[in-house]
Amino acid sequence: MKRRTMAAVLAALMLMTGCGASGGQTADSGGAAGADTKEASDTAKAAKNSGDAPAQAIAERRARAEETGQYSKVAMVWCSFQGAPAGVSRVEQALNEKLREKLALEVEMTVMDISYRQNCRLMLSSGEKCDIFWANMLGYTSCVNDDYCMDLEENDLLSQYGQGILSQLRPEYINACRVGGKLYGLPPVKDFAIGPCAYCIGKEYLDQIGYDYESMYTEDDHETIHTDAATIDDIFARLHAGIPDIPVFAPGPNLVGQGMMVDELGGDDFGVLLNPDSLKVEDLFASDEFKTRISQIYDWNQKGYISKDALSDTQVSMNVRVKSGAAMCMMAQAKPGYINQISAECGRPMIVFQCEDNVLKSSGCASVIWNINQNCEDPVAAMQLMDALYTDPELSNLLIWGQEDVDYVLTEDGHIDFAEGVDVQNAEYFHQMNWQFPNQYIAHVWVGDDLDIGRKTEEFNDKAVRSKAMGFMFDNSAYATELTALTNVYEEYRDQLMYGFLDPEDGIPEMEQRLKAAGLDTYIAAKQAALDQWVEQNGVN
Amino acid sequence: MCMGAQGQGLLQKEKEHKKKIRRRNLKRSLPIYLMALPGLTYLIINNYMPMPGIILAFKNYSAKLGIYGSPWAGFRNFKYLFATRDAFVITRNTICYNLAFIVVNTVLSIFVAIILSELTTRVKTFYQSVILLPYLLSAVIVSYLVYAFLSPENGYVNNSVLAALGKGPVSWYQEKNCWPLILIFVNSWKGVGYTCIIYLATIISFDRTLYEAAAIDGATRRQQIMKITIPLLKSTIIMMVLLAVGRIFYSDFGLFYQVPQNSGALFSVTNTIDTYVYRGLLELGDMTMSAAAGVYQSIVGFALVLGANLLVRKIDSDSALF
Repeated sequence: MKRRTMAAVLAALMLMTGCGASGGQTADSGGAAGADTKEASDTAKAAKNSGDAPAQAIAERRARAEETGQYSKVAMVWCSFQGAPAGVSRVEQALNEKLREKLALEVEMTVMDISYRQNCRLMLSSGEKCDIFWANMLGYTSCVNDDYCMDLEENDLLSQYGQGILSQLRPEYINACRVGGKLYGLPPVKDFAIGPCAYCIGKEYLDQIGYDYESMYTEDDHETIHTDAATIDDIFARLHAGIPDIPVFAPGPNLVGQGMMVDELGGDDFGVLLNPDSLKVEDLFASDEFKTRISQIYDWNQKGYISKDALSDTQVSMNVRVKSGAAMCMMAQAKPGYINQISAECGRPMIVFQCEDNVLKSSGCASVIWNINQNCEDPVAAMQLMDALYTDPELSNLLIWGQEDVDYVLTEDGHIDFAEGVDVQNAEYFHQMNWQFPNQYIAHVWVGDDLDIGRKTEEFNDKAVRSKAMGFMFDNSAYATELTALTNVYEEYRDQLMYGFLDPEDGIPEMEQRLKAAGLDTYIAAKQAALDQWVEQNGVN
Repeated sequence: MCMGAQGQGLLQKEKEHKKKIRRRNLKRSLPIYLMALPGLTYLIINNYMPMPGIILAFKNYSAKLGIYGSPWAGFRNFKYLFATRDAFVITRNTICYNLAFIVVNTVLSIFVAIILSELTTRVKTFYQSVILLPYLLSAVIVSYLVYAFLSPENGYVNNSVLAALGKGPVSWYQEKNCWPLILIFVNSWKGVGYTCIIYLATIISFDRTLYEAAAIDGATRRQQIMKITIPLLKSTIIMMVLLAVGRIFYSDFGLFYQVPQNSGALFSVTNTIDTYVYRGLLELGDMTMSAAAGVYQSIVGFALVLGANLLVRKIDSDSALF
């Protein structure tokens, strides 16, 4: 009943939006938005003469603000896993003080918890004001298919008002976010490569069984231990023997994207490149690699390394399980500084063991993505705000760490740490979502992290194994029927397989058979055709 | 002339009288209309206003163009439903569960109502409250109550019941075969208290002299129940069943989504049309396909209600809804 009501309200909302949008558009053509676009094109023309469109846009906004007494507002919707920090409105005020001066605009932040996935989608479909958002949490390609994301290169938006962004991001990282040739979103400056299959084990447990991990670090890497699956097996066996009361491993649904060297070509697991050198789209579920991974997890479950509740209690994330002491180890993807991030997430010192080589692929680039809503009233203002967030250290600091001397203080060696009297428990602005924001590397570095983490990350990106299909993302809009049918089948089996609760000998062929019936072959063939075309256009071989 | 005037006067009087009656009728029924107003408003806003949204199912949705401006897609959005077993599975689950719920709940409710009606007043209200209580719990709470029993690691059933019987633990959230029974049980536990109130109210209103006469003639309690109570309940039963049949294509979302903990292993026995649409819309983000499933639900549901009503009209025309 509740759902019916919700669906109906949603439908009603969509209806009104439909009417509102179409009505609005006709009304607007002579009104504000029309004027904006006209102004924008005027500015564009003027800019070609004077060469300074951004300054002109700011001047126009300031003139308008002085006239009306109201600054134009850009609504920014983001998510913090721990819920909206208490200090959000304070930080927003501080941001606006700077933004009014610098860009003649104000930002309106709406911060949601993990319900972002649903709530942000409702905001988008109901036409609520939401100018800048993260589509990656909703599914980037599905947002593009529904036309929620604005084409950022339309009217030269990016090249006119986003020069700062272009200076911070290499074209290859930007291009990896294109869908069907068009650019609908921008990645933050971040670790574009990933270090797959990184097992993070609580240090205290390893110490307890007397495992010597110190000697496994190499000369040039003191953060991540590079090892192999057999060693992990061995560690798990020892952990289980030494500490039988705590389940060893907290499994998660991230086994393919984060746990294997495959390239998912933009997001889904149906048709992948099995290794970085390949350009052949293959059925992941028929591969030996997949079977090996699943068999390993199944084996662990059989040996009692995994909690019996793992499958039925999937709403609790892996790091929360480790944090609460309900598991000793989880798997994720590593990057420079990851050991500090995961230790903070798990609330205890962790040791990171990585089993595969670092790899650079499209899905790593588009895994976090910033988008402008297609119904954004003032795309220029939104783009200029983004540009500032990519380039202005002061803004980036505010957004990521809060206010100096209130939320954090500078230490003598140039790091930052909690201000006096502030700790993890009572902090008003410590969301640890820095990886989601446009440029964390121009902001301060938290104590414990390397001061030159920005450079290290760049090096990490450059040294990683490149997938040949880096830069390609499959535009699945014409195959939505197949994708939905496939996803429905996959959801039925995915968790059971990836949490080690279904014998791969029976489970994989059964799933495979049903996926085939749902159109797996058609989908893979379409992916291959699109990839071939991309390869030809981009001269990859 | 005089007669005519008199006749006219009479006519006038009659008219006035009629007007009066009409006014009195209106006055009398106005409160009833007012009482119906909130419900009607809700119905219009909730059930009728969104109806044009049906066209979304036939569109290739683009937020830029809006629902009405998006290009038509024909029946493409329905294809995925029938490309796999999905349409069959969710239709089967929705209908079969609801049929089972109707039968089990009706029988249990009548049974409980009869027992309650035989009890003395003070104890009765206590039992009635206890039986009603689960109905007032939210599905989320119910789902965790069930989890407390069925959790594979710490659950009561695995640790206390099966262990005492000397049997090994069962991972309940993977055992497809058990869930039809579990769901029917949970649904009855949750719903019987509510429906039995209606039966109980009807039973209490029955003429006690009938029972007294039967008792004098030597009828046992059982005979009284079988020969008097149940036949008298017939029209209430038919009405309640018809109301339930009208909703046979709608499932209790909380029951099917929350209680099985959204476990993928159980989808084939727990996925109903409502949970399917919900997953489609919020997890896969595909609005048009969810709308298509919704349209399918509405159309088949509509046909079923008409069919059920037709059947009832054939059997007992007085009890038909329309």
